[in-house]
Amino acid sequence: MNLMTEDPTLGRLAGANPAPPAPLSAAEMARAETTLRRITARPETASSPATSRRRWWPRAAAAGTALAAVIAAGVLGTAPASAEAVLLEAADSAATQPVGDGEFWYVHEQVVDLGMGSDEVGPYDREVWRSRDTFLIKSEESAALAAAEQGESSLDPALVRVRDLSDAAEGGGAPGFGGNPQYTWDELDDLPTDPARLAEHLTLGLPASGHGHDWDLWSQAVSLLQGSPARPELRRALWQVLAGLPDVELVGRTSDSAGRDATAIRADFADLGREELLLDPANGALLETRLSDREGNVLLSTTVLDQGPRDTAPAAEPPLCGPGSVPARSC
Amino acid sequence: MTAPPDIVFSEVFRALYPDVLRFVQRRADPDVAEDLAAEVFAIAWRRWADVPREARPWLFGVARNVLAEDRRAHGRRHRLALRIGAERALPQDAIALATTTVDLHVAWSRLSDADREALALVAWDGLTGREAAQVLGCTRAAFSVRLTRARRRLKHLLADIEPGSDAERAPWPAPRALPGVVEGTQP
Repeated sequence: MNLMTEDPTLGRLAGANPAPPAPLSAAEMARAETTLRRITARPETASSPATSRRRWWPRAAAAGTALAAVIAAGVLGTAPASAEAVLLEAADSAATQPVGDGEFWYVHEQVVDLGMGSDEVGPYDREVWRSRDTFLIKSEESAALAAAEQGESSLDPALVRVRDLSDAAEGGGAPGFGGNPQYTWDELDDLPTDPARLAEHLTLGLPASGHGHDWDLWSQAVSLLQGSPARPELRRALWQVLAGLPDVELVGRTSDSAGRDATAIRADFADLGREELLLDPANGALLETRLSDREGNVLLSTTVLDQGPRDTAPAAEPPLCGPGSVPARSC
Repeated sequence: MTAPPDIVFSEVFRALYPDVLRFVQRRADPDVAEDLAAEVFAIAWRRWADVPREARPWLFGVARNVLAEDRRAHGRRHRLALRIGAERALPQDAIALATTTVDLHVAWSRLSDADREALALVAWDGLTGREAAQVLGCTRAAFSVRLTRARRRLKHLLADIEPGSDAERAPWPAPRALPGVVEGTQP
């Protein structure tokens, strides 16, 4: 099932496509071949490789110890630290934090979605329990969307359900962690912990978004830090990978949306906008991410309130709509 | 992962030029669409080393920039417009067909450009949520939010225009694409 078959409005809209997918006409094909010849008659001029401005992780990792004094001076108050130094401190701290054991990896986030336009959704909570074969989610998003549309401040608890999405995991099989692609719990355990090798591994596994190597790598590393059972050595390497990326700036001390002390760093991606990470360098925890457009308007803020192992998870509840919904309601 | 040397530019051009041309035709005046599609591939040729293996979303992203630049340079208004009378699977009665078509047109005209773009990428350009996010340069989660809102707004506008369609106004559940969740598969 996909959106087009599930949503009659989208299906109806598809029928009004102003230029439906269709092979080229003979005339269009002839003109296209002319265009192809004209384009390839010019020499290909590849742009500069992205690596030309990239720092190198081995250098960053090696510098970690030596930077300790700088970090202490900067983060603790006297001299300005760099984003790289803060990230490397977070890396070292993360390596000392035990992960613990449990059947499920639990993530509790709070989301504020300012999305497009003036309508703000949230804050709302989202809890996720993932085991090696189970994916349960309890999200207030539907209730928050409904409240935003109706101009109400309180959420309708009837719209908050624990849902079992185990069968909806992309590609089927075990639930994954990270952005795209995803790693199963076992695959996560196998990721290398040398930052250079990890960066290479993550890059090889990433389908290029077209927005550059740095963004692809950044978003994948952030996803894994934000909600995965990455072991301490892997968390260290993930922070080190971020420390090796260019165009990351230190914003300074601040508080996250939950009122926790944090240090903010910011990465700018020329064609995308920016993402700010609020972290606690003392324990290597990623506390909050803030995604902004190029004009600096925050689109999406996600605060990690808690994450860690759990031995149990709640039972799934009937969906709000579709087959098995209670009360029965079509989507 | 960029396009490997063994993939020849001309192969990609011949495979994807029709998609890019239709993409541009949905958003540009017919008399300039082929020129703009050609410009998209000229850029791809100049940046061939950077073009990802999954080239279609990348090309669509370039096409959006080319369209925007054309709009700035020539003051052309690119607006996604419905194909009037083109809906399929509608009531056979001619009056009802005309009415529902006009209703959709009116509802579409009241949407913001951002809503129209999110809907068009999925309904017309045939992109997945992940691909559409690549085109727009946002995360998949952010696109999921945009699309969900656009769908809801279109449904509500249609419900306002078409009496008796309140069933479409039920809260849409769980629109956010979490990692591991395929958009549109959530119950």
